[in-house]
Amino acid sequence: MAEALRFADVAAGYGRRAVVSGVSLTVSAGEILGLVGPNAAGKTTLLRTVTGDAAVLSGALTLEGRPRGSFSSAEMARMVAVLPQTQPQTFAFTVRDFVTLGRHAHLRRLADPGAADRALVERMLALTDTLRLAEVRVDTLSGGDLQRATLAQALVQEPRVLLLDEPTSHLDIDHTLMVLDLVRSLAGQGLAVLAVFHDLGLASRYADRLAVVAGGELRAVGRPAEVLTPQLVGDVFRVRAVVGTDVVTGAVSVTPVLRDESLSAGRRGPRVLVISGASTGALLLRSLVLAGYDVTCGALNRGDTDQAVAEALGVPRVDLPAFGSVDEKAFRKVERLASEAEAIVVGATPFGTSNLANLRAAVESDKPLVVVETDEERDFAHGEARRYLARAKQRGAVSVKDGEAALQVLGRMLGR
Amino acid sequence: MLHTKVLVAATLSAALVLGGCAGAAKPPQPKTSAVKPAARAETFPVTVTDDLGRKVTVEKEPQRIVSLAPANTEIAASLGLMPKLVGVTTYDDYPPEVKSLPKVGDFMTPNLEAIAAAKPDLVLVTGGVQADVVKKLEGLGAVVLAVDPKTIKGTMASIATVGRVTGTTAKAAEVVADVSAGVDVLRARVAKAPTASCFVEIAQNPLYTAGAGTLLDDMIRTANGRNVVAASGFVGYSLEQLLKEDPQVYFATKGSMSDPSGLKKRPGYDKLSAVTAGRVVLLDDNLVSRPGPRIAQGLRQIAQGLHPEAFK
Amino acid sequence: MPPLARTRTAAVLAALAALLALAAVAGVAFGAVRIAPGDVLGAIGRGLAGRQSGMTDALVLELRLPRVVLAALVGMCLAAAGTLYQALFRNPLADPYILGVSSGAGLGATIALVAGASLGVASFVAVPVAAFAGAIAAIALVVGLSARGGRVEMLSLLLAGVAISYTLAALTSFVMVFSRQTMQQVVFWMMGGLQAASWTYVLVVAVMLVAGISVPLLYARELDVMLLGDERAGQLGVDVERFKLVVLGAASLLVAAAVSVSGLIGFVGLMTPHMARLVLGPGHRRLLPASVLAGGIVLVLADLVARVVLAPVELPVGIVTALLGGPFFVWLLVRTGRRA
Repeated sequence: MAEALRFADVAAGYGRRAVVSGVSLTVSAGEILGLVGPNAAGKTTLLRTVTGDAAVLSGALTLEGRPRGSFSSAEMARMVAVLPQTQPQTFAFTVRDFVTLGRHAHLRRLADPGAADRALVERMLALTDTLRLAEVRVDTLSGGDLQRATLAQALVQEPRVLLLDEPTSHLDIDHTLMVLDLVRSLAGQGLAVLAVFHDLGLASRYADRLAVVAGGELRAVGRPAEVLTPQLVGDVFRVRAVVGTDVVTGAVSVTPVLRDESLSAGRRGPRVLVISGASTGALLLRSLVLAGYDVTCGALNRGDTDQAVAEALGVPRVDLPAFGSVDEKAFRKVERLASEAEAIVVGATPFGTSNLANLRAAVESDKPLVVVETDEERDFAHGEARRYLARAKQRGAVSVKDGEAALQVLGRMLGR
Repeated sequence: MLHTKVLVAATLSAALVLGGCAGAAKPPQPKTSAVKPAARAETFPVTVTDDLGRKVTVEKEPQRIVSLAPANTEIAASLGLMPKLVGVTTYDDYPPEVKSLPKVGDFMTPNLEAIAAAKPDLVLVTGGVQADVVKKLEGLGAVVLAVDPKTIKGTMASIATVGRVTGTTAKAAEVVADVSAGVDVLRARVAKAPTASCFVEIAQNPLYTAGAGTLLDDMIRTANGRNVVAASGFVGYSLEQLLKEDPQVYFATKGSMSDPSGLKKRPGYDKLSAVTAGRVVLLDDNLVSRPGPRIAQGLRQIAQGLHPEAFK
Repeated sequence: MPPLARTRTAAVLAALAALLALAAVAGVAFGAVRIAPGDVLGAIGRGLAGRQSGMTDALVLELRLPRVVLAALVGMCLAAAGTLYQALFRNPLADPYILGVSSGAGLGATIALVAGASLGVASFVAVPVAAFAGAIAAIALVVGLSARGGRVEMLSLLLAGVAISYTLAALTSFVMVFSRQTMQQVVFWMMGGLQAASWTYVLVVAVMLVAGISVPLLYARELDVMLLGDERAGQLGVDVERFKLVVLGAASLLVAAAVSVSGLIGFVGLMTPHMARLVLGPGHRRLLPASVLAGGIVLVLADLVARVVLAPVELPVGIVTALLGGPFFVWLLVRTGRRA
């Protein structure tokens, strides 16, 4: 694909102060490149470097190989269009007139928009679902309507590069998808798109590549699945997140579990082992970590939510392959984790032959035990599980109805 | 900016009364009987009614006098009170010796602190812009007398009044008699001539003039003239109306507010009879606008302008 | 422009032109002196034929006609300048008077008068030039004071305008005290009036009006785009900095033209763009001609009122426009505040 926009070792900012530096990045025609990163990381500054509102302090910025500085204002507007973070309008243009202003750079002085210009305006109004608002005054529009009208205004510029700054911040779900599908299809026709996203899910769903910006630097560039690792997300956004694949769209999905800051609050609490699996422990793990316990996990299968959450939270555990069983080696490890714990919580987990060893290690450890009950059948091990649970009860295990109750009991048990 | 406008309007009206004549309202005038020479010896206390209609009582002969208007200063000087003048305004220029006297501010904004420092026992103020400061001046312990006549007769009465409160009644009677004689001579000289119409330009752009109730209007009438302006007081005037009235004589005052040198070139002026007939007359601002002992000289300029043939 | 809007615009502009003609006719027909309509027409006819004679002819041709035409031209200058400032600052409350530009022009003119009292004929050039320099300096000062990080907020713009305009008025008063010789002219700047009208003034202002308005008309679309904000205008292809210089220059030229011949007349530049915008919307291809025509109408009528209401006593026309414009400004302020 042809190169549309290239940052070559660019440092940029306002006045003499650099907000971003050392940025090397290329956006090709037909590609959506998503910029993600925490607030004030420099994403918007990168966009503003292209529009000329932020200064390139060093390095080179080129558009289709031409230096940014060699473009006149009008040439620039025919090459690059921007959808800014929108602001309320104070003058009473109709939406149609407002969108038509986007043709400015294509019209000669004193020329009225011709038939072709007007047709283009109508098409973009239709594509952005603002045709029905064409005669409404822009100073009366809602944020979402104004944002789509502004997109239409940007699109009638017939740009070869489109810059989007949080294009969906004011939009409802329907229009969010509509706008991004539209951008996707325009990219399919050769438009190069550089877009700032706040929603990582949307970013990975619509962007061909993502560039992660943090602290004024480019931290990673690549396909969403390569870039959005739990480590990077944790690093950059300072949150513990589960990174998975959205089952419906197949896009990378990022589910933040908790903020770094809450994690570091009371790290050195009593050690508690959680026996769970089949997504029954995810909430419990989060609550225990937030409450400051030094949490460990029994054996968990990869692909299980509990395993992903434990990984995101950095909880020591015994990982099993997907659909793998707790073998002898894993059992020994769980046994050791049990012996190191001051108490053990058993989640509302169903037990079958493949994970029964988890329960066994817990019960045989003789540690104080809290068992979350469930009305559903949880013994798929021919009565073995029920037997272990009964034995636990005999030895004084406390039964609770949910994770919240378990937390309370645990608190009393360990004097917290 | 609206304030500016008000300020400027005030400044303008104040500037118009450099001689001490402003406002359309005519304050009560003292009885002309006061003009009569009084031969009796000076006695204090003396009570008079001033031009603002106030009863003013002077307990003993004033020794330190402040004058806040050029006309007042001229009156005081004519009564031989120069040695007692301890403060005048920056506008005062006659007689020439007053220029060396201490200044207590200008005509529009007398400086109360400077006046207080002069420790006056009599302050001669004027009406218009100065009417407001009377109370404050009285607070300083001085007797305040307002001198603000709108006619020639009133001017003579004012001179007599100043004479009474300063213990110079006899001298005042002499001055008034001189003024009166001068006025009578002029009046007699122009009495036979046909009444001439005229217009007085006070300011040029916008055009300001003196209407009924002003000293100038009275002087014009006394000089057997007719002021074409019927409106009262100092007013902005329509050029159109001026052209329509087409006065026989056009008086311009040479001063800060107008520049008569380019008068012929002003739009429409070439059609004015006064201009085509060469009857544009320049008046000395200081003589025609100051109600003081030189009023007859001012009257002479006006009379001569209106009836040049009577002065051949 | 779609055909419908085009028709409507044409209709509105035609109506405004007709109104201006009517106002001018009224302005010429009425005055301090009553002149029969036939005599007015006769005078104009004789004037066109070059056979002017008599007092009535002089009154119509040398006083009334140039004054009405000058009022129209000055109103047009002020309205055009107001429209330009409002677009440039995206501020419906901007106007040469409120922004202090008129005061700047007044100060420039005053200094030229004081310094150039001896210049004679040269002062005819020096006064408008100095007024222009004063206008430019004033607007630069106001913008410099109110800009924060490249943004000009509405409130700070108005405050800076008021502050600068007071300061400049004070300086003008100072110059006035300094030189009593020119006091009369200075008083004239301050109060605003059209009594000095002459055909020479008409010619000077007409030339400056054409120069000041033709450039912004060429840039009408840029003015529209500028309403979206400097940054957005740049993104849509406007060379913002150069454009601002051009428009500020043109607006200051218009203000200088108006102030040089008629002193400080307030609120015309504020009211007329608004009235035009209410009818035609914010597009400048339509707005600029419409508010220019409306400005002419407003000032011709205001001057007529100033001439006849107390005739033969004349009011300064600035007082009439302030009486109309003050309440209008308050209404706008309240309305804008409510919507913000």
